[in-house]
Amino acid sequence: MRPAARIAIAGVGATEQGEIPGQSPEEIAVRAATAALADAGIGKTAVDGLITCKAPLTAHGTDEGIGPLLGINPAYSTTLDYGMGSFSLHLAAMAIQAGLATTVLLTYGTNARSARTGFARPIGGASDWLRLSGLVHVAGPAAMAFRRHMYLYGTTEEQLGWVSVAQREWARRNPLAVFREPLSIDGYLAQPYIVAPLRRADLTVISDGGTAIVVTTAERARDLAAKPVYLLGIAQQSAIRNEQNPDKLMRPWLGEIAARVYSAAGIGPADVDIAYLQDGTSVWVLQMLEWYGFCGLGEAGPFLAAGSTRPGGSLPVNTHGGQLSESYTHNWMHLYEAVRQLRGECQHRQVEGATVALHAQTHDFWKGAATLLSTEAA
Amino acid sequence: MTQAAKPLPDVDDPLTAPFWAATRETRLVLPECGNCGYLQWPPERLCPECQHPDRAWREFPATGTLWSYAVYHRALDPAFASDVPYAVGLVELDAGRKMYGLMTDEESALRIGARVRGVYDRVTDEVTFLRWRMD
Repeated sequence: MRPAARIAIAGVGATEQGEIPGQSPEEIAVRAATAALADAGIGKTAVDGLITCKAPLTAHGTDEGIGPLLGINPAYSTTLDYGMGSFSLHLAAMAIQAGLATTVLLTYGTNARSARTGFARPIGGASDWLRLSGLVHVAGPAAMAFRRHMYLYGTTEEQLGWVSVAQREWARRNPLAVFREPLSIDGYLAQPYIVAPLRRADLTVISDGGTAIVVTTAERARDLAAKPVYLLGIAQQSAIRNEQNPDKLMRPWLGEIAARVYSAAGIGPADVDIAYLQDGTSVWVLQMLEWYGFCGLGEAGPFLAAGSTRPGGSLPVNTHGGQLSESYTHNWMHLYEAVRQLRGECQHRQVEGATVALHAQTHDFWKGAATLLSTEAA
Repeated sequence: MTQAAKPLPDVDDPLTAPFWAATRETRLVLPECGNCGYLQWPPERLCPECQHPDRAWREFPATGTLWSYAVYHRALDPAFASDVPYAVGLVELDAGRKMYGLMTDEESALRIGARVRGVYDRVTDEVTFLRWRMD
């Protein structure tokens, strides 16, 4: 058995997504945690590890803020500043394999929408320099990255539009999704630009919501209530030199994560049935389709326009609607959805026969992480 | 509603003061590491290559090629509300690094891969911005 496959996800939980007025990020995180523990069929006293994640651009969400609400004193507890999804999942796997804990609860909550958190800030290093040029919000650098892609490969705005249109088709089958009204490619192209060549539908929803995951050993997971979902491989790569890297925007280092995560799992992109690609902007999906080997470099435009990522396509992507349509949870809900798809629980949007999922994410221009998941322990 | 003031740089910050002193004289200077010669942009307090703290500023021509650009149709920063639509360029300097800056051209004139030239835009007695135009 490969090292990461000794670890499994034993339960998942989520709150409603959208607007949850009057609740703190910590309350929302604890509500999600309660749901995840119920899914795993364990009580909170079984938790001996807790990893929490800060709500972005706030001081909320630390383990010390969540502990009193959750009412536990786990042997191991910590907080990641950007601990979204796979970043926390990998730390949990390490904590278990190092013997610090056996059952680790990951939980995240945000009230970004109700608290009117402002995201129109410079993204990446050298923020003072970006601000002087009016280059605020992730839409700016993402627009630059896509404009460069158009120049290099002839990619069109319509091809990019299929990221958002496909995810909306998925979201329409997801009762949790914030945006469920129909979106056609013509409707996409008719939207005004926010930062050209990007439109509203290319940019993340801002919403409130929480997600929680229970991680334990593969052996223990087999004794719990939910069907285990095993970690086949994990990998990360940082790009923390940021602006001092030769190319900040096209993120070629994603290819290094891809090579490493496939190698760790002993499989390739052709073995992936469903993909969960963090979509703060649609451009990140386009980039990851290429770097994770689902098409060649520069070929994501035609790949998308062929309907590959839509319901019924060859590679269903973000089958819950993702951040573009479902909710703004930085790939946490992508992980929740990946687990539920592999367990066969997604009803109208269930991808029949899906056994391997890729969960891939990035903290914009700083770092990335990927996990290959399966209901079969390889 | 009065428009928020545009952000201005701290021209007295020792890390960047030589850059702003030079733009006031319509010149472009960039910092090279005093130890290994690595060309820094943006300037850092320690050289990213050798961690040496000293920098030497050297003059370069304000020329390069347009690597990419983004056109803001929405004033995501309210201070730029009267500028929309405005284009931010990423210029690959002939000196060898990349620099962000507002483009002075109409969007229809922007061409990735084409030559650009610096334009010095004096906004206060202390601050002159380096903008870019298609050459």
